[in-house]
Amino acid sequence: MNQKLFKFGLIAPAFILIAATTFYPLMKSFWISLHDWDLKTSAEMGPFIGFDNYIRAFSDSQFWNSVKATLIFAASTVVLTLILSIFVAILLSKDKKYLSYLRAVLIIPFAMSPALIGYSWRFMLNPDYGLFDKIIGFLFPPLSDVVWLGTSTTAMAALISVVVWIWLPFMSLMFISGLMGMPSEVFEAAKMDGASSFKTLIHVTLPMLKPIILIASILMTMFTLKAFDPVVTMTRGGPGDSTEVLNFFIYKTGFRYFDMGYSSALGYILALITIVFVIIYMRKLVKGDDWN
Amino acid sequence: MNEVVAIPQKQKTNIKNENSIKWVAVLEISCVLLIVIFLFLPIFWIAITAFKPESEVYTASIFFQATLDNFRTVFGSAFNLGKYYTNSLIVVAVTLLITIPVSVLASYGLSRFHIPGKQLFMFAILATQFIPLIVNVIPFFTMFRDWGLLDTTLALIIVNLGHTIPYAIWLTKGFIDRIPIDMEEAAKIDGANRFQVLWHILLPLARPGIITATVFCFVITWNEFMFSLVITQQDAVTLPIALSFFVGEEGVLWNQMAAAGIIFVLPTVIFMLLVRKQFILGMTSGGVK
Repeated sequence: MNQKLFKFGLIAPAFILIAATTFYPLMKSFWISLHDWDLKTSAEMGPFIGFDNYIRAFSDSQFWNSVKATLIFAASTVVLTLILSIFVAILLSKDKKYLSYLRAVLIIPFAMSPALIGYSWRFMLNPDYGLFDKIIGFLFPPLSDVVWLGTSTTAMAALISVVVWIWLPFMSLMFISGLMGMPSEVFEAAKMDGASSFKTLIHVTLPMLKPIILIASILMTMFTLKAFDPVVTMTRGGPGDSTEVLNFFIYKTGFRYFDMGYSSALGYILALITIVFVIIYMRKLVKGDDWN
Repeated sequence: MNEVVAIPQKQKTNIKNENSIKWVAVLEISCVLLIVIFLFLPIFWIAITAFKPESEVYTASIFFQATLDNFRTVFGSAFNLGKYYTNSLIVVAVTLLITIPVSVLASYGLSRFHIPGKQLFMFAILATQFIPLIVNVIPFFTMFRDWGLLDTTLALIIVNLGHTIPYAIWLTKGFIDRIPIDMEEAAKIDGANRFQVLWHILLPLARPGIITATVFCFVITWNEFMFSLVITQQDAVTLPIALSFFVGEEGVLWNQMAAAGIIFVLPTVIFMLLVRKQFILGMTSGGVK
């Protein structure tokens, strides 16, 4: 009796708060997504239209454009971040004093505000006085005239580079903790057998990192599909709509055009896309026999 | 850590081999250097821009007469950074003061007791993470508009709680699950009541998990951008949105934005450095289970 009161007393506050701040608004916005609601003309929700908002997305060229932008952006960012972070982890996980200092400060970029980083990238890519622009122009003179945020390809590349920059340190630290937890005997054995460093990487290191690679892919995919702050602060979807990723498109539909119903529907479509990706990874994860 | 770049042992160390070791070492160090430059040059550049006088901002100079003028300007009446800083502090403090106790208690309950629907609840809060947060904001925006709560810190706190509590529960539950139950049993036998067990046994043992969750929630709330962009206009604006005030008609006041930015990121950077190790552990083991 007392026990029952105690245990429900423990979880009740969290349950009530989550219900009020997460479950309820999510159900409410699903309900909104089934209605026509232009907030500019009416403060009340419009007529019930079933799944018309969802169907509308399929014939909306702007929607497909942002799906394309999202997939290009997310795929490039996830792949680049994973490859680079494994590379960084292998380099930094060695037992040297100066590397241990470096590992200690590696988390700093991750703690920085993505909004500030987005603005700073804009500053540093400025064609007149930007530091990155000057460095790139110095190293590769043919690129010195590029206006980085002015063309669709380079703006997308810039956006990808920001998000890679934001996530690389954190992902590297995950791999570093994985690598440093590995038994050193395995590498000794590979060395004894005369395996080259490249072979050791392919046949020993990477298979052992597999569980972390899968977790990292899931986390990165979830984060990049939801990317928002750097888009707003750096490219604002431009030039044109070339970097208008879905999350930004949803924001624009909801809070610039105030088309609440359509915006909610788009949000749920993005959730579906995320879930599809996670299911694909999860199946891989379950198949992998080295996973408990 | 082992040398990943393995040199076949069967080969005898001759001059050729020593040479290649040297080259590998040089290559490695240059790669490390490149990584350091890529990751820290932008931060370094923001930091020195914050101390640059107006005339030096648009040059690539590293040597200049450092000035604190930018910091004085951003805290002056024109920008009023102090106000936005206070807003951010209020939002973060209240959000954390609610999130952490509530989540720790819930994690303890979920970890130690049989509760019907427990698995479903844990799955449901994980599943909400797949839905983009903007879906959360849409109904809140319309409700706050009706209630006259738009542009208040209270509105921001409410929306932030929906973001932080699920994370905090997942993070702390992972830690509490790993604490052996024996000590609690022993304390109970010694006559401690439930609250004493919670306070004197569980909390000290769960401290690393609680710290991790606190720092994590601190960082995401402090840097939270979208809610603030949608909900605030003037009075309740927090720091990430305040940065956009430096983007004006005639361009961007980079040196002042950098000064504001440095003060803005300082707390999260310091906290992150303090709990770096537990944080990575918590994210890799507690976060995905």
